[in-house]
Amino acid sequence: MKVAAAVLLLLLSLAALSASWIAPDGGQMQFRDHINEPPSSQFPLGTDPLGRDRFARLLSGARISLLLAPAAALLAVLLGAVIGIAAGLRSGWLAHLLSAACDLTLALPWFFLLLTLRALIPIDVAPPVSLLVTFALLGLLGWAGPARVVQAGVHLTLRAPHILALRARGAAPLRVLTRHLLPELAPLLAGQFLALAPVFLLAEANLGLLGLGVSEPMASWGNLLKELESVAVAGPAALLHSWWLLAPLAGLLLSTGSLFILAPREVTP
Amino acid sequence: MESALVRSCLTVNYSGKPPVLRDLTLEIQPNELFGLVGESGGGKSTFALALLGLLPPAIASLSGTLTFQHHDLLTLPDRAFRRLRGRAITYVPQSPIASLSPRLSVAAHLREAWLIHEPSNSSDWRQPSLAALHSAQLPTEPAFLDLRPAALSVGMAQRLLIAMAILHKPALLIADEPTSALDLIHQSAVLDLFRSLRDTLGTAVLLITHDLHAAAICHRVAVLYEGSIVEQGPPAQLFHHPAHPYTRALTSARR
Amino acid sequence: MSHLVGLLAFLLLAPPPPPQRGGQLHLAVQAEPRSADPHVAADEPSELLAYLTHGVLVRINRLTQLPEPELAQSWKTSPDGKSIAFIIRPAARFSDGAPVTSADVCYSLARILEPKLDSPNGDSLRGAAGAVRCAPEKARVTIAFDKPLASAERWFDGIAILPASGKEKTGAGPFHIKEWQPGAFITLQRNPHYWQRDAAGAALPYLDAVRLDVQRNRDLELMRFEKGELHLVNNLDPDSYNRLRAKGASSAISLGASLDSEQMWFNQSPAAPIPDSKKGWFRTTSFRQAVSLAIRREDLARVVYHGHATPAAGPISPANRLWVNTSLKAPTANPQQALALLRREGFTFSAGVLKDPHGRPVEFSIITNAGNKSRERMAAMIQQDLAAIGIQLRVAPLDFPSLIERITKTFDYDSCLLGLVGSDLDPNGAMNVWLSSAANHQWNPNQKSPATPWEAEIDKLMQTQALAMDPAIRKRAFDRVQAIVAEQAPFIYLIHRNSMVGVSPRLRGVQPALLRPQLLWNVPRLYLQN
Ligand SMILES: Nc1ncnc2c1ncn2[C@@H]1O[C@H](COP(=O)(O)OP(=O)(O)O)[C@@H](O)[C@H]1O
Ligand SMILES: [Mg+2]
Repeated sequence: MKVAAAVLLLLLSLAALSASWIAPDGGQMQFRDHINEPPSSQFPLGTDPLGRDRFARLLSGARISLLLAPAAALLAVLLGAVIGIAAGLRSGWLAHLLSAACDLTLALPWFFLLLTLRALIPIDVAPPVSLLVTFALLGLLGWAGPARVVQAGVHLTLRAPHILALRARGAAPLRVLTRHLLPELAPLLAGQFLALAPVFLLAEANLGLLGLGVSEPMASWGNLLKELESVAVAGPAALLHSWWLLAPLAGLLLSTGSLFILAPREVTP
Repeated sequence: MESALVRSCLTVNYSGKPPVLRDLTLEIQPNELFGLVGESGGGKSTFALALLGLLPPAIASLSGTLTFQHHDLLTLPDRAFRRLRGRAITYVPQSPIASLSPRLSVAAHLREAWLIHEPSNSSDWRQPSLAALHSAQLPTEPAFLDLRPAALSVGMAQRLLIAMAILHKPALLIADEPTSALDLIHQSAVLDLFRSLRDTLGTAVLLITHDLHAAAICHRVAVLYEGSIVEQGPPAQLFHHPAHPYTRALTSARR
Repeated sequence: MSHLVGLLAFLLLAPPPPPQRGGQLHLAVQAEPRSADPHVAADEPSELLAYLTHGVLVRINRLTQLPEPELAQSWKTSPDGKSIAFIIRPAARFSDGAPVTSADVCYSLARILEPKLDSPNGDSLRGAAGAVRCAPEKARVTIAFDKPLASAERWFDGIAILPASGKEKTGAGPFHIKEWQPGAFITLQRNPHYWQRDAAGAALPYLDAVRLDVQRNRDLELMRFEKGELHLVNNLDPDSYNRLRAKGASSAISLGASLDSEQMWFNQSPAAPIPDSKKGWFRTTSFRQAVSLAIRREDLARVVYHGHATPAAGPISPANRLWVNTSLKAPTANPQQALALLRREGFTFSAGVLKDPHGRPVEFSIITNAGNKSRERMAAMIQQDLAAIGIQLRVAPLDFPSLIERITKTFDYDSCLLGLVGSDLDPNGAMNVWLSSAANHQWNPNQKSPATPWEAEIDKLMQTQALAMDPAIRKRAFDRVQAIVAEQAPFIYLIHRNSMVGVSPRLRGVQPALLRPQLLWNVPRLYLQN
């Protein structure tokens, strides 16, 4: 199972990396006499409403989705872990401050904040830069959820008898943290990561609405998935007739699924 | 008498509530088998944790006196306390399996327990560990060393905790309810083990239990009731001439 | 062409059978009308409600776009354009049976001009005419203006006549409101006193009732139309249109180019916080012309609108029959010619990169409102078209408020892609776009004096047409304005969306028009066939 998942992920990553070789234009070339076509030998997954090769777009979109979304999720989880652990280990003003910051972050009207941020970034930044900024933002802003979970996890773990026993053996806080707390929180962190990565993947598609992230000519799984919305409105029957539109969804499910299989699991007692 | 190992006249309360221990007064002599008997929720574990300096500082407040050898445990800096913990004062906690790290093997437990106090002799952990396992009457072959806590029985887990507790030849070993998780046969075996450890290692043992009969192996037993020691003396005296009504209730009770 | 055939087929397949009285016309509106007061109606549903329930002195025929007598049986304007006299139709009645009098006209005019009422039509009439005096005398009413008005009668299509008694719910239209369930529906009942009769002398309207359902979801609206619950739908998008076409014979009709246009423009404002090099390009006529020439408008219409759009030649859609300059033709894309124009200005093109005379590569951004699929797609296509002449275009979709902020306040943008919804046919309605001093002179608004000779000429021509009373003079002036705009390309017009509607085969008498209310403008003559 794990091997299959690893092979699958490897294949997906390889395909993504080879995208610039298979589709040098990043799937941006418009074949205007071939719009909305079903799969053919020239276009293995058909073409989109602008006549762009869906297969090429899927591959070049994978680069963004398989690299940047997990990177942003990793950033968010790392930040969340640091803050959550600090808040969990300390009692007193620091814990209060951190958990207040956490509440505030969760309650903020992100939409408007992102709007303001968008206004601060010059409109003609090169797409790759705006892409990086977007995912850095997602990563930097997404810490609160994981922090909350990690803090609770720290509290729970610290109260566990084996940690008390360890401290009774004279272990210093640093050892407790690095050798025991962190490894034991790993499944928790992995879970957070697995939950966030697809969320960020989709968030990227919605950020496109604000002019952040991947703008139209570039492909990402997020904006490829967004196309499914309009198909969904037309009813499930329409999907049966155009199954190839589901390719990005399949990509998303396969990659998150294999990540899930590969993720460390809690040891059963 | 002036060279008592532990001297206590301790009051402890949790977050401003009525004290759990009030002027708990006792002395433990070096190499003594000392029993602390009292009902569940009476504050026995609280006393053990106070000796280890592990009461949660945010909610527990301690006053009175508590000394170990020449150390004043109530004012001892954290760093110095860490040097005592696990070396001079060791702890065998109440629920054996839950008190082991689920991810670590038997060997890893011992290795870590060694390294915490002997970081410079990091490669030397094996010899003393095997000796400790042997003293705790556990197997020493590699197959056993590779087991994880989930694969151990309760009794074995407890003996592993004991092995770690004697690794550094402590002056005081605290055993918190060591018999309560075991059946009768294993109970007497583990009590025998503590007695022989005290004999061979020269360790003092603080045996905490709610069962007066389990404390029969001790030299002296103190009875904890409503936060204070109401009576103490050799077990035979407590069994045959209990002075306090609570002690009398304990002698007639058998679980 | 197919839409024309469709329209013809529709008209031919519907021979004039004897109209039937009775029945309830059922349609949906996308939002609750904001107000039942016709004088303050500003949103589409309120305007529709006012159209169905109130009478006006003059109606613009939505098909011919010419004024026709309604509550007034005739009118006469003075040669100086400063007054107009109406004769009120003797048969004109309010829905409560009371006759429409000249006093009612003066009352309604005074009411709509009252600044406190905030009436959009009243406010613009006040702006154009200055003080207005109304003199009632029996069936005749004379209205005088401070400033001359060209085609003064057209203004009265927007002024509902209310009874002087002050009952604003009583109107002289073909229907009156019977029931209004907020958020759900409005039913209108036939006005038995409506003045109009058909050729056979039968009282109009034919319909007994009209029901307007408030239905925000367009997909549901379409579904109900397909089931036959609703008798008509407006503003079909290409996909829905194609779906309806594929299903039913005559229910989906394309009316050809609408009044709306899609256009892009370069920021020429001197206040713009953008590099001088870019400002230089954007102010160069040949540069704008080259960009215009590089864009494949037919592709935009074909790919983005599935063929349901018409390449644009200039600012005025062919739908505006009276005013469009028919001598202008939509430019055919020609990258070679575009490059030739640029070379003449000292630009160079090599290795797929266009460089300006100082050797700087030409790249700029275009902003458009995010979430508008058609516009995002057009931007992507323009991107590829401009890449062919070595220009790197960056597409920046923005949320609408920040877009408006940039084009009206900070001027922090290179170019913009937006649509313009056409409603007013008359060039006077577009003064605030074409005058160089105007706020909506988008490429360089609020100029103290015209920045370029051609803008000065447009200013002059717009004044000329505004002051002239002779329609021929006005037309000539405005034709010239359109020609200058097409030549100078301050706005690069791309396409006009086609207008597409759906009509139930049961509903007869429909004469689809491009002007609102597209399918209901001749509602007295509509009837339902069983
Ligand atoms: N961390 C704590 N916070 C608050 N109260 C506590 C805490 N630990 C123990 N107590 C209370 O102190 C009393 C004594 O507990 P404990 O020392 O565990 O008793 P014993 O070990 O004799 O069963 C109990 O009433 C218990 O509820
Ligand atoms: Mg206890």
